[in-house]
Amino acid sequence: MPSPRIPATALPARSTLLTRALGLSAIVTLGLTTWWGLWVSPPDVVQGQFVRMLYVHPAVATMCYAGFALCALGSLGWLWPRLRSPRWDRLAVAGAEVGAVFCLATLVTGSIWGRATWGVWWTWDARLTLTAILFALSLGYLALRRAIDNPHSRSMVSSMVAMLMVLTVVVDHYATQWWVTLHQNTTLFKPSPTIHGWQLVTMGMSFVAFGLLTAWLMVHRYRLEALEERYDNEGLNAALTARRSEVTAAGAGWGLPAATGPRPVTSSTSGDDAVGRPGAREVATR
Amino acid sequence: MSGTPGQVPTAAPPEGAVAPGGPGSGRAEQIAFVHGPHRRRPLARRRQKLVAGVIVLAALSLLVFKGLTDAMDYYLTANQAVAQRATLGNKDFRIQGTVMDDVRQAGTALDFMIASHGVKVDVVSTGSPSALFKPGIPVVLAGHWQGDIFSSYQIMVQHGSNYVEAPAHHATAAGRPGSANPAGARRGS
Repeated sequence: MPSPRIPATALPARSTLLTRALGLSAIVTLGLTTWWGLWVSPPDVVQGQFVRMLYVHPAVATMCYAGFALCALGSLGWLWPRLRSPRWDRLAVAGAEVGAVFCLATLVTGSIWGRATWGVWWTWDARLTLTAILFALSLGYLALRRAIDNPHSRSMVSSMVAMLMVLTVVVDHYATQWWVTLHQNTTLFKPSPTIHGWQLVTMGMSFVAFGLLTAWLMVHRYRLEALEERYDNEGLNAALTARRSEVTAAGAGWGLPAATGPRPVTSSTSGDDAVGRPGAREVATR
Repeated sequence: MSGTPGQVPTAAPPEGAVAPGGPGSGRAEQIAFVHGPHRRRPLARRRQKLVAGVIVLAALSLLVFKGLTDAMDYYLTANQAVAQRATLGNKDFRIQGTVMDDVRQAGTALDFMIASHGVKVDVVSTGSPSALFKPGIPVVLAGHWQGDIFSSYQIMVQHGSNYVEAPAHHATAAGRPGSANPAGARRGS
């Protein structure tokens, strides 16, 4: 029988002019950051060549915070009864994944910079410890989303974790002011930045570049989530149609009475039967 | 299985029956083709993920415990450490101060002094410092009191959040161990 496969044209395009422009801008600004950071910007009087990590680590850490802030925004939007919509949940999961990626990058680049300047890969000061906690929380958030099948419960529980994550972000940001730490205080985000010339310009460019990269990743991750939801729903409908047709054919082949007409799906079948999957069941009973 | 109320009807073939089209052309392949990769996981996979979640939570608890007990009082400045010497005893802690001018190599150890708020402390350290270690730079040392001397096993160089571009002729010297401290450009943080 002909396959009830979802036509490719029914799915959104992979990218738009806007996202392509966003991606291109990210590439160009990342290239500029690399060029200025490695060849144009001079060394620092104390850190020497190690200062070039300044053009990666702070921007990456800020994007980590931005990702978790967007995750919290999406979670708040979903928790707010009047605003509740799958769009907020998509924003939350996109922010959490992008934040987790940048959080790992923060830990790795910070560790490399720490080994070069402090002399250690890791130490348990407040800033580093809280960043590690934030990364563990983000992994927990993503694990929870994979573990809970009911979309409502999944969004509800993960929204709570998102609130915990953004609280950790705030404490992490102020850790160097509230406690004594080996980690230095902020350089750029204060009334009089303590950096000038090419170092300031390059650092600013790194924020622009990683900001554009974050925006590009967010857009595509959001779109992927929407596509997955659509794929689940449309794939299920196609599978239901296919199975009913198949049962009819099989019944005729074996001389059994054929099942007729659609029936609501209220309990699962065993194994990998797509129709019996909890997520699929919820869609079918809508 | 077929005919259960509320369930999608499945046609169980009689014993020995072969599905139309022969083996290998049946429903499983078709369904797999229709659905492709799917986000939902069977129960066993979900249990694995729950176990993974528990492991992450356990790791998180360890991090919180370790972090809260260790990170909040990360170091004592040299003057605080001298004031609390009696209570600190031989306990390991971290001390912070600025490295004084005279740094000597004594076998495998470094012999130098640190100062904070006008209080100086003699240090003997077996730790290997980073390339930025030099007189005039703030350091955090891990170790313990041994009489009046701080016996250290780890040297961490502390740098502030001020950045100053090196002049062209300074470019290659900056960052090398033992290079001259550039005229107080660095402050302690």
